Amino acid sequence: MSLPDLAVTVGSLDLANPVLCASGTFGYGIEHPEIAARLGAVVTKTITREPREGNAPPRVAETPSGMLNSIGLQNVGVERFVREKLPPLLDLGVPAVVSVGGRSADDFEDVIRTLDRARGISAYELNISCPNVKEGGLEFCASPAAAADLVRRCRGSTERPLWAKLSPSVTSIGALARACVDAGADAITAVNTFVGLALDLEERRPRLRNGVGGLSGPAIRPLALARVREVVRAVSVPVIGVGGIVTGRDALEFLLVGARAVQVGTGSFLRPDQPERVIDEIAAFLAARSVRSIDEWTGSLRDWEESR
Amino acid sequence: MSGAAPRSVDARVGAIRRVGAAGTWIDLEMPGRFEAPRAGQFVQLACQPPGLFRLRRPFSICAWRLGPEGSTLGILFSVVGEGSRWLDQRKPGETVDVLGPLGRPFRPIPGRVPVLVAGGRGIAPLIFLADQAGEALPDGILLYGARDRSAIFPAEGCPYPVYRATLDGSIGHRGTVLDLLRDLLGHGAVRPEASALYACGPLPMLAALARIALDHAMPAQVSVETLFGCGTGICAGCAIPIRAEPALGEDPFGRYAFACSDGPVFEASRIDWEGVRE
Repeated sequence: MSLPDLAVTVGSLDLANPVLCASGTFGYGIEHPEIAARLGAVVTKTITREPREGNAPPRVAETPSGMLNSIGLQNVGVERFVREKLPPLLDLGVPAVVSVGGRSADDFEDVIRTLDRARGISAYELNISCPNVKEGGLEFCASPAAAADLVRRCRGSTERPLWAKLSPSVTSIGALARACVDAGADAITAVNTFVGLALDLEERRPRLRNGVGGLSGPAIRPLALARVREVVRAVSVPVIGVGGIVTGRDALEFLLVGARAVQVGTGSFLRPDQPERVIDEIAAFLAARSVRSIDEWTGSLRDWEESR
Repeated sequence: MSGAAPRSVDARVGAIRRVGAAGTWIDLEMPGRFEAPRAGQFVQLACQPPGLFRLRRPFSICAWRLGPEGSTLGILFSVVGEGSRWLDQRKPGETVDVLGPLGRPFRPIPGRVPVLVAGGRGIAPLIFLADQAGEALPDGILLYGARDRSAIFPAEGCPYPVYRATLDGSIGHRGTVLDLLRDLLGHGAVRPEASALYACGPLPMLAALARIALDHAMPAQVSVETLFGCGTGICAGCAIPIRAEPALGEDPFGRYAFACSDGPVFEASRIDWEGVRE
């Protein structure tokens, strides 16, 4: 049984395998370097122009098969990121994708311009879908036009690949994705967390200090998968699927509907090497079915009529 | 700590037994590659039937012994929720998935008498600290407070004399463990200039202890407990407010440190206790 070829391309990027970490769930990518070095690419937590202290705790709450978080984009800011975090990140030897956030299009452009002066970054993932910040979160996903405006501004600032990360809490994620691609996005990452709420009945208050938070984990996987399939059908650029992936089989579902790559998020909280296990489980699954390459599997979803 | 990535291992449940009225002791037999832990570190246990998703639960390490084929990890805990209830129901021979040891340990200060201060379940890492520090620093004491007799675990095998306090006086000193500490300071039984505090317990207790340490110019290290997402420093969920220290220049922590990877043991003076209270 020979191991299948797991290499994929996402636009101009060649990845050794289709498994990435999701932004905000693997720190700056340098906390567990041995594991990060095995990923197809590393996606950092979201970097903003100024340092952000993040939201007051409690920031996490467990829910059935998932968790709510309201971290609030805690990060050291772009200048310190470039100085302290980027060099060891690039030393990993895998493509580095920097997640970019901001309160306004100007903020996004400033962050990208600063990052553009540094060598070695493979792509930017635009976080236009964070549910946990007062400004510069979900409003960019409020309409296809707002998202397109932001992507267009960023497109004008860099030659590097731009991925737009979309919220699932929208009317039509397909229309949103199309608008981002028309404005110059090279790939779509879908989906960010779902807005959720959990309460403490004894205290009669939200369990998170911030009230609502972002729901992640296996609880959202079928919801995310349906939206990823919708995005794949709506655009012709590569789609990176994310939402509740914990095992290789979970990842294979997203790949089957046509995602070019996947991101493991909350799964890494079970054990930091969970993404590695996902890579190995994908390889074993495909090998056991004599599928020689990931490309043979990706997008090969059949409908009921074909498969009978 | 080594730089190797933390990888989870399957441990076999050895003995599991009741301790006192409200505690459970579980021995986990660890495979050979489990790294030697230091007092104050913790493990993240997957407290769930296989196949179900539940965040891991952090447990302080209470004991560790090296054996011929591996090591034995001792955990002392009370049932406080679904995770600890699952652990409490384990039987010898079953498997528990363990991630660790994690976090920054206590750093005993040479030449200073260790004064260990435990509130309730906070006893667990301090028993381990007494065990590890006892040889180099034999003159320490352990102050241990709890609500009442039923909430006190026996501190078996502790090399330090144990002074107990209960709110109702059912065992030991009547009052809180901090009343006991103030008493010993007042009588000169604890000499601030020659001692160091190591504490674990609820945050309000640690806040009050930090105040005592400041008033007496004593070094103090505290182990804090918050809600953890990952336990390995990648989710940013376990924020603990940090006091700005302009003298440090660019503070490595910023406003919030992570209790799991920057702690759980901090210098008491680094924590912004006002922020914790809010």
